[in-house]
Amino acid sequence: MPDKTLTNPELLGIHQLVVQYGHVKALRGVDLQVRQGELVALVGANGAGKSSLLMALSGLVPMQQGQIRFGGADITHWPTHRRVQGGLVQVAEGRAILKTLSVEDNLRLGGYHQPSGTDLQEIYQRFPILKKRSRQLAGNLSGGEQQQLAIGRALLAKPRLLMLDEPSMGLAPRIIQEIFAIVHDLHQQGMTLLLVEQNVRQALKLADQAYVLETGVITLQGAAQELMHHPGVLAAYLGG
Amino acid sequence: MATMLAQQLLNALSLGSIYALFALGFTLVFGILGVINLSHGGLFMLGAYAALFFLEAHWPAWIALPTAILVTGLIGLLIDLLILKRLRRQQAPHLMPMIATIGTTILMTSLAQGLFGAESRHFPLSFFDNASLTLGSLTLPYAQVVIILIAFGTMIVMGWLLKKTRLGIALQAIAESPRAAALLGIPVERLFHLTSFLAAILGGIAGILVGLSFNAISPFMGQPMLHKGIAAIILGGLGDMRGAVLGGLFLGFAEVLAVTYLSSEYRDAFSFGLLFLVLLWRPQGLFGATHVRSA
Repeated sequence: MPDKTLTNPELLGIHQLVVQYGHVKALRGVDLQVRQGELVALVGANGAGKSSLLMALSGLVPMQQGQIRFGGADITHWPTHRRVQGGLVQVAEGRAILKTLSVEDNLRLGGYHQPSGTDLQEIYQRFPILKKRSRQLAGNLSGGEQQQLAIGRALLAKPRLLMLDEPSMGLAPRIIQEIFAIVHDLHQQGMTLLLVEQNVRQALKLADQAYVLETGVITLQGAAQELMHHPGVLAAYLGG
Repeated sequence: MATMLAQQLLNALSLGSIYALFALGFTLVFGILGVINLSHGGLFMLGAYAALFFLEAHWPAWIALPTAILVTGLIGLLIDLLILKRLRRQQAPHLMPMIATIGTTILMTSLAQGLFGAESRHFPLSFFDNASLTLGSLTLPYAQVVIILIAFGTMIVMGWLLKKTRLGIALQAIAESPRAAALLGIPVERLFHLTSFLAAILGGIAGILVGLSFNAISPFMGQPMLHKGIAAIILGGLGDMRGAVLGGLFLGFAEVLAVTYLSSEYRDAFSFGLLFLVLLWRPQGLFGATHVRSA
């Protein structure tokens, strides 16, 4: 299936991004592009720097070098909350649920900069379980429910680009399928997504474009379908 | 006998409510910023002296006292902007803000001493003098009634702000995880500033109320108050708002009972002894959870 999004305008452009913790370089000059309406997968082994990249995109780790453009603006020096308000929204690894708050309060905080009651009802329609549990403490939800809450909460922030960091992590296989179905639906509805996954096969199946990150460097990039059959990817991530 | 007990309970309530107010501001900063701000005692003293300054300039009390409270809030904000913000940015270890805020307290104490003298002073307010309400055989001095109303009124407003408003829920989110809060688009740094401002306001109000209650303020009044504030928030459970209020009230009652039934020399020994016993029974404090703040 040819990628119909290739001619779409760029939404996110990362240029020569370097992130360093002390003497350790987590990212060593990464270039990456996400076009409007695209689902881009970023895959790689544990410790390759995937989460560092998303954290840098959200402005939560300082970057030593490079530039981030989003929606035509240079957001390299923007604080985190301004990036979120601008539509660059992340569902962090581990879901970052506020466990001591109710499900509904978590959701309301998702729309912190643009509160609106009707949006909340839309989220409840999409994720009925959240409505059922709206008054419970978010910490009491199961892993799959927490992931739904995290995604629902992020949607309330009206993302122009939704970044998902390992949404399948720690979930049972059946639940993982549900989560990937949600990601697929969002993409079908026109949402632009950057998906970080260790579940490489699933990620490549869903994505239009993909990047392979190894020890802080992009080693492969291209159409997701092609990468799925690339000998390097087959050997390293898809068990030959 | 019953009248005397009622009178003492009223004293305990007014003293305890001041402690509670002080402790609430103290624990707010700890819960949300994650630092122990040892300048809270200094801000408490500053509130009282700012009130003295404006009252001596012959401003009417209804303007002078709110202005003093606002000034205290702004100094609290300034401490955050000039000191705590930098330490946060450098991810300084916990001891650093403690040492830095001891420094600001010393600075404030010295300034008060230099400008107003080391001896204790009192507010030039006469309308509280000896005026009282009489309820049966019970005498309620106006000052005490006003103190209790202001202290509880302020705490109720703070409780509503923190539990019922969007801003308050955002603050709770920051208390649990500043990083998760930032990812939701909450302007964390701005709310840190706001927290420092609000906490200083609570400290300033407590300082003014102590000035009204004892009719005496001194540049050194912050230090013993700080000890009681620390005791109250440890008793209540670090970072817990309800706990701080109950811890403060507990200390107030313990002190007044000690003075009434033992002797005033044993006041602090008795209340801190009780604190010790409570902590043996519940080391995490009355409301303290054993939750660990995530990154």
